[in-house]
Amino acid sequence: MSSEALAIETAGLSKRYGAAWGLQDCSIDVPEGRISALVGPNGAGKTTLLRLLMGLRRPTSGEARVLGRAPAQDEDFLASAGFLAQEIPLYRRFSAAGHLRIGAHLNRRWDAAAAEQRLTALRVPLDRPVHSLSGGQRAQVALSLALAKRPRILLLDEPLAALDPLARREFLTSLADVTVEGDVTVVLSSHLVHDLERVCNHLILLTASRVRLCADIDDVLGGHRMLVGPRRSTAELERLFTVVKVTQTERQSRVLARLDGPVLDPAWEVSEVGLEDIILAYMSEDQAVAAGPLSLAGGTA
Amino acid sequence: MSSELVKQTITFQLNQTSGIPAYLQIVQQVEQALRMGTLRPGDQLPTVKQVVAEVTINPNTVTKAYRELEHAGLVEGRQGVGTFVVRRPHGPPPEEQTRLARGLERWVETARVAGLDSQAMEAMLRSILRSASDRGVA
Amino acid sequence: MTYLIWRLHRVHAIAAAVVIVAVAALIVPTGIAIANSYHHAVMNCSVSHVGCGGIAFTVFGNNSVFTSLVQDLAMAVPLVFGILWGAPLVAGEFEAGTEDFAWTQGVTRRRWVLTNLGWALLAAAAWGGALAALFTWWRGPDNAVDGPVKFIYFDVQGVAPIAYTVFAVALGIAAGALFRRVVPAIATTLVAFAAVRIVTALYFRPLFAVTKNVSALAGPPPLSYSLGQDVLGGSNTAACKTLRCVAAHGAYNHISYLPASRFWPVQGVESGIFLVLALALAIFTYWLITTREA
Repeated sequence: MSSEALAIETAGLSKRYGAAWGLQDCSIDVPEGRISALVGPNGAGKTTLLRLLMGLRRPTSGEARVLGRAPAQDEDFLASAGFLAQEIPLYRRFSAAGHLRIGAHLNRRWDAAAAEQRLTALRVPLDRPVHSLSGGQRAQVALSLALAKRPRILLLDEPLAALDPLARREFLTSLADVTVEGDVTVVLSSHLVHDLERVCNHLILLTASRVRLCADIDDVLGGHRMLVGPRRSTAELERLFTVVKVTQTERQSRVLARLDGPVLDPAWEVSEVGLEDIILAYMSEDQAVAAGPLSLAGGTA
Repeated sequence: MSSELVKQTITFQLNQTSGIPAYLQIVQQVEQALRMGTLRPGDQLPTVKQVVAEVTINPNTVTKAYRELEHAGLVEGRQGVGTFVVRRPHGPPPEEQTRLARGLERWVETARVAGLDSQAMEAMLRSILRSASDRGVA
Repeated sequence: MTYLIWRLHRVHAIAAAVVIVAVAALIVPTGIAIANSYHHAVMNCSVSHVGCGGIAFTVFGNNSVFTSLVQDLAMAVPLVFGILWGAPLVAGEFEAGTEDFAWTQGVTRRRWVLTNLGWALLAAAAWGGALAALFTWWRGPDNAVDGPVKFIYFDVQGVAPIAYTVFAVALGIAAGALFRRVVPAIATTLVAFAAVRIVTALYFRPLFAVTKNVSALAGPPPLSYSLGQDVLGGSNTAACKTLRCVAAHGAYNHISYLPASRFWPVQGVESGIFLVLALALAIFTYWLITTREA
């Protein structure tokens, strides 16, 4: 994996707003060509990270490299990076065709024909003002506008949030389709996991402004296991592996752990875990820590 | 009722909750189609673009699946044209498959009479397969 | 970027053009009528020495309500531009979130703010200039009769209205960039513009006044703007009931006035002040947009 070219590389990237940290000490790698899911609860720092990567915000400390250079508001960078903000910034009274005409004047490289073809194939009307389109159609217009400049990286902030299931599926299909052709790297954020799993092959998990996971999804799935056994202390496990979440009942212990080697103790029954469960475990661990000293890492036999 | 006629040899289905990786599901569905004779040597597999449009899946997953099939010698990719079936998978012909399936049906009936439900049967089969593969048999 | 600005604001530009045409349609006929009437009266006076004393009343008396109204409206023009063009220009985009569109579609913040400022201030100067020219022409006869330097007369003609309009629009844009909301931007523009105009009119213009003592019977010269008169001095003036009496007792009139001849110098300096303020606001806006963050 280290031999692959990296579309995104950050080191200690941090952003503070007044007294609060939006993002702390974020160090991630995203290889080129991935469709990466940026996941985390609301307020975890997803928007902050995406805006830092687009150069719309400047970091408080640390650095980021996108497509090999620091993101900045200059025309070269803007020509190679596409961004879709959460609020879908379109001019309500202009039509999709109108936006495409404007885009042609604002961008160096502009493929309006492909964008029109795309929208027509999706049955999105080109000549009606954007405010009269459905949420899904607006999202597709915004995506087409971001794609028309043929960017090498595409950053999308919660593009699925306001879409109904069918529109979500169509949007994700569009994204996957985009990566079939070119060398585009996509990062899209969401606080829902289920839909993303089909299309994303890389995961960045943020909770409370920190990165918890950043890896190919296959590696995440391969590296985490659920261990179930009769109730006992988890101290030994914690010594050997990274324990993410422990659930103890009177009779049973259930542990989600990041394994980098075999579990030799035969009392543990080891099974695979779904991605959504892994992510939820990280997110709830955070809440348990925040809740106080009765954390999950202290089990008694 | 809605029905679609798609211009592809076969279509795929992705089961997100099955625990089987997506690319493997595609491999298995191609192999099954080959076994049942739905796909024959010389047929073209759906293009990556077609699969993505139909199943909403990462293109790399499709590529990975097709590469697996190519490794297994079942298909071959022709640059610029597509991926084509080369031969059927090794294994029993359809008639033999049907015979085995009948045997399995009889066992299922027996197990149901004995009191096992589908989930219990699945769990039993899974655990037997696992220990069989541990022993190097399956 | 210019194309985007045109698409976004062409309705405003066309509306403003229509307004200018409407204003012209309104005052040009009356202006011509007044000018004719004035020339007639002057002719009568110089040729047949008739009605020389009452020219002002003859020409303007019937129209005084109308002319006052027109001039009051003309006073409002710069502020209206500031509120309708300046305040929503940047604030409107921030409110709708559409600045993200331009900023991720290949326009740097620098280019965005400079192009917006450039066209807005240019349009302000052009539209302000067109209206100023219109009113300067219209006021021709009245300037000859009553002078151009009086309050309101001064503010609607010459080059000052151009500077006021440019300043108002720059103020609106700066307020919009600061608050990122249209309503606070409008409120700030209103208050700040009024304050600066009042302060300059009250404290700056009098700096150019001429102050002298003249006969108690005399007043400020014709066509000038009187800033104050005080009959002072003299002895035993308590019993006097007429100015003649007071004058005879040695009193004098301490007058302060802005002479008509100082119209252009004051216009020039006041316009300069407003343009410098506008430039400062533009620089402030540039700094806000390029340095402060979303």
